[in-house]
Amino acid sequence: MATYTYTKTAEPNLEAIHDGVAGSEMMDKSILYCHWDEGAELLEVVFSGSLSDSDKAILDGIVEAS
Amino acid sequence: MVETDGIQTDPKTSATTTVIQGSEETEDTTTSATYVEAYRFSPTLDVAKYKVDFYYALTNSNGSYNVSGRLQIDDTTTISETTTDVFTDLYHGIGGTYFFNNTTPGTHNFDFDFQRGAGGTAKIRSKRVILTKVVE
Repeated sequence: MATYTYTKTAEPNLEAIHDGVAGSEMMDKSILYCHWDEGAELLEVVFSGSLSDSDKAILDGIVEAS
Repeated sequence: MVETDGIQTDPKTSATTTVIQGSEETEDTTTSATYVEAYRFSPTLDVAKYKVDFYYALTNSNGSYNVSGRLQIDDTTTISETTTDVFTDLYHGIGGTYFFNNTTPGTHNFDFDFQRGAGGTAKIRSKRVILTKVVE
């Protein structure tokens, strides 16, 4: 598993991230789950494996928009 | 019992006990369909019997799906577990009491875990645990 973390102070739309990954041009869409901790203001997006640099850039955009 | 700053004293025997509490009121959300940890409380405990009072509140962003939560000690002893249907984003509170007979001194982990059902986003908040050392 590979976990990508982001700072998120407001509650993100986790299902929109799933949908965004599924509908994106990412090569690896194997998202497992998202977890947001309000206290830590931390969002974790967990994939089954490490993303390529291009996929990571697309994921960054999806998370930014959610 | 008389309580002062978390220390309880029996006025007849002068025996003392301790109240320890941990809580996280903020919300955690997940799309995981397997348990993930929302809050860990790690007090240092004596060899003693402890009364464990706990509470947590669960919901799902989509009322068509259920949500599960549990409270475990040291990742092995499950002292509370529930799966419940909910109305969308309306929290369902779970609370109870458990007697923990601690035979190993030192740090112990009290974990609040949660997961969603087949869909939606699971949410948990108001994770609270209070330990009261029982004077025997």
